[in-house]
Amino acid sequence: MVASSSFRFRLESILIYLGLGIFAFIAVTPFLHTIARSFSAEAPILRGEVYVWPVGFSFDAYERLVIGGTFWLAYRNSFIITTSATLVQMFMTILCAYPLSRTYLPGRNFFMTLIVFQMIFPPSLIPFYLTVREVGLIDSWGSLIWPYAINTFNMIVLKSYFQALPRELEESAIIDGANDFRVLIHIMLPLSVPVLLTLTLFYVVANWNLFLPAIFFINDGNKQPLQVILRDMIWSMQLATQTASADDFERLAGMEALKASSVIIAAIPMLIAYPFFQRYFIKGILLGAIKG
Amino acid sequence: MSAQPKFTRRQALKLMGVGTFSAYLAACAAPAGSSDMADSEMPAGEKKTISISHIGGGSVEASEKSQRMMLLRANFPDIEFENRWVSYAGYLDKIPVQIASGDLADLQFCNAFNDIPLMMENQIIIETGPLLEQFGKNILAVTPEPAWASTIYDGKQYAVTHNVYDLNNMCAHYRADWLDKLGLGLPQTIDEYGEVMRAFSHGDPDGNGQDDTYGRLLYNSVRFDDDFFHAFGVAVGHHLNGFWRDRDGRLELDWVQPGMKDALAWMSSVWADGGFHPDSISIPLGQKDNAFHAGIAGNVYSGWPSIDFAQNKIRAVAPDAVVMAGPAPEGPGGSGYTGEGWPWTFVIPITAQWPEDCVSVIDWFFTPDVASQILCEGVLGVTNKGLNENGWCVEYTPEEKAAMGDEWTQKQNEVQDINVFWGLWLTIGTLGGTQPFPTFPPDMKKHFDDMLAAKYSENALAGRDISQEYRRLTAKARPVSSEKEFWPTLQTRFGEFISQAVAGTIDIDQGWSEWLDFFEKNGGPLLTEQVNEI
Repeated sequence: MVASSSFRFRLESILIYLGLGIFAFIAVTPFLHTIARSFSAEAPILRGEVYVWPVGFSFDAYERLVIGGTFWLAYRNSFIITTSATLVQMFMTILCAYPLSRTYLPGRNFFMTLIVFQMIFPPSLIPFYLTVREVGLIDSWGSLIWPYAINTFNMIVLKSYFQALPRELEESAIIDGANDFRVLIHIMLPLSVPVLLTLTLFYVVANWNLFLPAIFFINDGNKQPLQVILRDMIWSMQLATQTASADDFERLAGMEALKASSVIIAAIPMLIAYPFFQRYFIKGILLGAIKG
Repeated sequence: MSAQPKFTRRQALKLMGVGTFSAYLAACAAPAGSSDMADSEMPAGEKKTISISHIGGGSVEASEKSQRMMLLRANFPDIEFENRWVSYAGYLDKIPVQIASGDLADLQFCNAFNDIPLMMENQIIIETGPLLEQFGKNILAVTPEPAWASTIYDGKQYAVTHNVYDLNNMCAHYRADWLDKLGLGLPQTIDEYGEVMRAFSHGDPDGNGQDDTYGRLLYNSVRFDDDFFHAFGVAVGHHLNGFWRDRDGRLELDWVQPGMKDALAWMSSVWADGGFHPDSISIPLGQKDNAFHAGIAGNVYSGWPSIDFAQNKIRAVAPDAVVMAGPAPEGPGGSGYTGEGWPWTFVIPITAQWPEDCVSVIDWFFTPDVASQILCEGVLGVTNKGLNENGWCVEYTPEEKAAMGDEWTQKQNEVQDINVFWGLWLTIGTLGGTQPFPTFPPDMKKHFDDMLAAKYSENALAGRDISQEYRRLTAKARPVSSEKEFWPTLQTRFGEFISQAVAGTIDIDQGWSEWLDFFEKNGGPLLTEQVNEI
């Protein structure tokens, strides 16, 4: 009986791991394929011979990508934009979510209605652009930070999380003489680390992948974030192949590998960031979603 | 005990809530008063400022180091040039916002076909005809008359120039070595074209014993394959912008002519026989040449200057590959290659303070003395030889580049930012895409003609002649008012129909009837009427 149960347990485990392994393989394969392309020669890529292992191994695409100052300038720009924007966004989100999570805030429902209204009916592009222009933010990184200072969805997640925390903790702190700032900083925030890190991750990813706002609001090529520069680089080279002369062969060879390497390089910071946030990720979202 | 009122918890929360909201609304919603800087007069002693919007690439710093930018700044010391860069990849997203907001640069780079009508409708650009007469003589002397057609409305000129003036550079390219191997010649008729497509797919032209080659990789929406369509007396028009012809004294859209159905049926039969690459139609923008470059397709419809480039690229997998251009195949409706012209232009908005200077700046690029310094590919003195004793730029020949080996690669890497990002703006293009100006003095023209001959192979230059010989232009050069309402819907529906028809996923007879019906009910007749009124 015991042996049978043990066998069944092992069989189930094998099936579970097999199933999960297949799903993991499906999820990882496109990424492996992209890595393989980034390290492959052009001809095998175009002939469809590259799957998950490089063919004609070469670092050329990476060398080509990082030569010159523009790439690094864009990388630096994206880093600054992501860091600044995330700090502002977290600060503003916390400051908005905490008061709205307190039931005794006068006009709380009115404010929530305004927020939800804005979420359901976001401003259309042209008025939004005109507003950004009129407040003097065009061509500055501020245009990528201040108009996006609060993501409504993230704010509601955080507000729900705050509401789910035991009231007794807050009340005992108040009895001990703490005001709201102290309660927020010393009680609520330390208890909200999972959701704060999760929201930080959301903001970091969104800011790092920022593309259209930069296209709309930034005119100076030196201020563009990485995603815009990478895409422009690929498009420019792609277009050039339509009219390239023979001597452009060297310069424009390896387009496909270049595309793949740009994807990998752009993804590296996020790949580094995810493992640090991962263990808080599920917990943060679930806790924030329990109570609306 | 203090008499000062206590700042309560509730008051603090109120303050925080209101403060947060105020900041949020200020940043996101509340417009401030408009700036009056644009209307102000320039203080004495200060430079004029001209902003230039272009899609020239990502590195302003590198652009500043380009020869054309240095020359420009040196020649116009009283003008401060403000560089407004737009990513080529993001242009289509940004330009509607710029047009709707009126936020255009003093010299705004734009697409004549699509953007000028919108700018006209919003009344945000000025007429440039009189300015060109006065300040743009070099531009007018160089630009051929048909190039202006898309910028003239009610007899008025609304663009400063087109950046390049060749009206067509497209032609059919073939793997000549495959044709030889299969015992076929360059196809002269549409039937022969079909045979060549099928033979490329099934005749094992690469000799590897596998069924892994194709005739052609079709572009998505079949919209860049007009060499087939012209044989039936019709064309899709690259970019799905339509193609109109005079039929018995009346302009009619090719999309609703019987020849269109015949062309689609012909392509569908080639598709059914496996003549086209199976990834056709679904490929992303800009990848139509990939199968040809990879040595797995034997035919492509592309620009003649890329013939040598394609051949070099294919030789990475097929060392004996030879690429050459062929004539447009003759069919029951004639033959031809669609000349799309070069739709990119500079326009001047009503907000520009110095429109005369704007025209003068562009015209300066077209003067023979300046053009002869910047017409060459490469960065002066690095990836080209610099200026000769006459002050004309000189390119390295392909042989000289090959002889340099690693040194050439090193030179290219040194100026990669400028090369990759095209420099600031290629107002007059570079040699090859642009031909030596007719205004060049004879010795200057010979200098560049000789350089062109050394730069491209005989096959490529033959392709240039073919692309000019078979150039066909639409008889309707400019938009009409009803297009805004109807054209996008018609474009979408037609694009779907022809893709499905070629791929054989619908019955062509039924699909054709439905398409004609759709055209009739969705503004087609009104559109045709208005086109015939202009």
